Amino acid sequence: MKRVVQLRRSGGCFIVITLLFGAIAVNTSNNLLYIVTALMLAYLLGSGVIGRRNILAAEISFELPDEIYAGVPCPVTIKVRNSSRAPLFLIEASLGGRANQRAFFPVIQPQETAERTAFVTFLRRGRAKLTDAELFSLYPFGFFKRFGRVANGMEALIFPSPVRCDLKDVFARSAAASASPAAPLADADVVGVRDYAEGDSMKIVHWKSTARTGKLKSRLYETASLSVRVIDLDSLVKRGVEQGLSMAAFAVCESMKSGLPVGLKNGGRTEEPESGRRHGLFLLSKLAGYGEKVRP
Amino acid sequence: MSSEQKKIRLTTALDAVSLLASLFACGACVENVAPAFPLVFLAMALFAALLDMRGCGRPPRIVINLMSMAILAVLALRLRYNYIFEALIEALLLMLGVELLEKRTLRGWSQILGISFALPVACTAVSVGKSFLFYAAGSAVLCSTGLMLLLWLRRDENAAAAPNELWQLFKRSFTIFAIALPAALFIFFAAPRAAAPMFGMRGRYPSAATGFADEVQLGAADEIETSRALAFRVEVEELPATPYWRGKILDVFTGASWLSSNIPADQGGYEPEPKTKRYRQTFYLEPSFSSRALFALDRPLGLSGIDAEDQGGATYAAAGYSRARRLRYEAVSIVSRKLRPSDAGFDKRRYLRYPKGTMPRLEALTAGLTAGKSSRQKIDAIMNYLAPPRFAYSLSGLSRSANALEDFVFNSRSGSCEYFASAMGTMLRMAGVPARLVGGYRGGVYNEAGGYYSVLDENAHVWVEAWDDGEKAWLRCDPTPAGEDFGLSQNQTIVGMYLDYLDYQWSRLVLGYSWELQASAVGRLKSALSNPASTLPKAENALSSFVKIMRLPVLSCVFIAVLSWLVRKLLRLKKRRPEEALLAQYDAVVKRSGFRRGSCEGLEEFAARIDEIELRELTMSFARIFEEKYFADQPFDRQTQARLKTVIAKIKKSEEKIPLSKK
Repeated sequence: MKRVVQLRRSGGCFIVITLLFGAIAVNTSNNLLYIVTALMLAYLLGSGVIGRRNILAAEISFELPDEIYAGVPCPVTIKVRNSSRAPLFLIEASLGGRANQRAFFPVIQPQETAERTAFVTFLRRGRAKLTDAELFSLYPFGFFKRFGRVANGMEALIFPSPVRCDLKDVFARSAAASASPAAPLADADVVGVRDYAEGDSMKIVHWKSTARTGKLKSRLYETASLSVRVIDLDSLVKRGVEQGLSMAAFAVCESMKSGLPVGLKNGGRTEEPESGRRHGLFLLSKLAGYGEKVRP
Repeated sequence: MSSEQKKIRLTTALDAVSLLASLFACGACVENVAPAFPLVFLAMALFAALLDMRGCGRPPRIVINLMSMAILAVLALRLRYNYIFEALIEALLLMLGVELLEKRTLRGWSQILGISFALPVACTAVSVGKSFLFYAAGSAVLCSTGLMLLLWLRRDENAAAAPNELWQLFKRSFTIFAIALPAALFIFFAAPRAAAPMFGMRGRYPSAATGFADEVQLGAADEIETSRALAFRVEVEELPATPYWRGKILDVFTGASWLSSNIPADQGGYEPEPKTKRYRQTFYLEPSFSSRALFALDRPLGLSGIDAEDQGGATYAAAGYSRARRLRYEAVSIVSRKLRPSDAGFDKRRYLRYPKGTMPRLEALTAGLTAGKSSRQKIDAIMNYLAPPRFAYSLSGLSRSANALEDFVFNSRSGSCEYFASAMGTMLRMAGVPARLVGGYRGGVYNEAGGYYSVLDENAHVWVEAWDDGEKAWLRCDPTPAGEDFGLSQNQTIVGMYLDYLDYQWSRLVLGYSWELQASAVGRLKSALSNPASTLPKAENALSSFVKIMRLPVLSCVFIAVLSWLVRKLLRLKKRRPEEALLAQYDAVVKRSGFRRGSCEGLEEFAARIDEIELRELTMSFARIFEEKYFADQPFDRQTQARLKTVIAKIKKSEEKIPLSKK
């Protein structure tokens, strides 16, 4: 059952004091104390109305980054939108119990969206579900904790945690991979120029040809040494599945950073070396799902 | 200046709010403590504010602890059985000052806000003033703002906020108060009340006692009769003549004072003729510690709504308990000088007693005045003797000698109502006419807006009742020579009248609200629901009196709103830049010449289409001077302004030469 409101200790004390004043006022016929008691009770009501309006006008959503690695704190962007015409105060969003899993929004102006970052750490690779993001507020006086809307948790694919290693141990040495006609390689000779393809690194853009033709052109490298950029996952997992996957993930990350092509050899199936972030994320997702049964 | 620099640290805001809250708390209790305590508190608050402004550190912890111990010692020394709350308030006030001096922490701010809230609450035990509501409201708004800031600061201790965000937070506190206020009023009036204390507790009933006492002592009433303290209010239609509010019969004369023998006087009066107008009154009596007397318009037919003892002689007293708290009751009276007892044959000897032989000159005078006359003639003769110009009313230089009465009659010949009533009462007794004094009040200020009389201590009065053998009735005789205006304060301003009305409603609805009133309101509501038609005229009456009351305040509010609008507009005009003012002046002048410049029309463009040569040249000249500065983005210095003004003056002159047909 969804929590709506929770009495805090300070609220309990306030109620007890109010009741005590009420009893004294009735017994002494002191009308001024009666007014104070009535005002205190009315303040509970007023704070309830204002606090409820405050939390119900907040809409929460959150965004996950497209690269989430196991064991590495992942920044989650929490967005809270104020759908009312009045400012919202002291809103908090929580993705878990830890301090860095919470985001505090002191003021959100009307019709505006505020963003904060909270950090969540996933311990294992593979598919994981992020817990629901919860909104709550102690506003206005901290007597009650009011809970607001919930953003449903979403499923995320957690990549293996990258472990720094020597890249020579990661890439296949003898396998003859078919060369991609447009694959770039830093230590390879340039044999020609081709049209720019989506995902090509800016490092291989041939600027002279681009300027001459008015179209983006990329360098065409000799394909002889390409086979060394294929990750041999089959041999890596022999060291231990998670260890091997972490090494492979490191190699993919490094290739993504440098813009060099990378391929993956896994169980007799080879993903051809390509450069670009999209390809890198594709390989990482393959690594994340290693050993999982293929879903229909 | 960047937006970051514009932000205010929450600690600074909380300092300001807590200081304001503590000043409100001090204001709430300033009337209930010795003057030194608020002064010491203010000195501490000022010192703390100075430390804040100069960025100095706070006093060391040991000093704070010593100060706290000193406060506890002061509390212990001042604590008395009947002085508990005052001592507690004084100690709280000093503690608040110490808290302001202490180094700021979340706990320290919480304590300041807590004490600022506790002080007005503690004041409820000793205060009854209307100002309490103001301070309680201010304290509530400020403490709630402080609580919000504390919550924010607890979450982010380095927080800073833009001024508009702080203002929004403060406005939100007001909103909560605005929601809470009607709810609080509803709870106050509707929440169940106990007819009697549940645990046998009975609080103090704090108030200033009124000046009416059950004894009239010659020369003792001058303080009372110059006091403007409220004695009671009475809801009644405006009376045709100065009202006498009957309170207590004083039948024993000792020579220096008149007392009540507490022997019930003659019982009841006959029921008046059916045609005699009856006046229904509702009394709201301020507390009194010196008398149990209940008042009613002379001559009362009966009292209701209170447990009253009939003391005889158409006087009543609060039964069982003293009048140490506010009382509300109703009375029905007729306006009459005569009081006819049901049994005219009662023992009149006690109304003839006086210390014989102690005032031989007065006895001789009385004998001379009343010899051979009937009782009515004797009454008239003594009344005439004590009338002006022979005697005059005065509250100063009253005789307090052992033989004060003879001193008054033969020497000073000026005195207060006690002297006149005592002299007449004694002289009547000397002449063999049964007489007694009646203590009460005369006059009062009639508040037309509220439909009630405010009767003050200065209206306290004493008059004589003499037995008229012919009429077989007590006859009210008031020998005090002050004319009909005596006791009627006619100098109340309209503002004063409304302030008094507010005070009256405060006493009636807030301080005087009780279980009995609640029960009667429920009864009225039930009858209204069961028979709505019968309540319609009453509702109409209530509505019309409400409209009558509210007419002036509403008109005043409209007047103030219009005035503030005009002032704002005037200020806006004043705030205009010189070039804007000159341009507006120019437009007005050329308009009078029959040319109107379009709202988006350039000055030169406008000048070019004027067919009057002289005017065209002048307007063109204005345009050039104006544009020279305006388009160069230069300020319109005094010299330029003077040049432009000269051109405008010339345009004004040239306008006079333009024939009317061309305008």
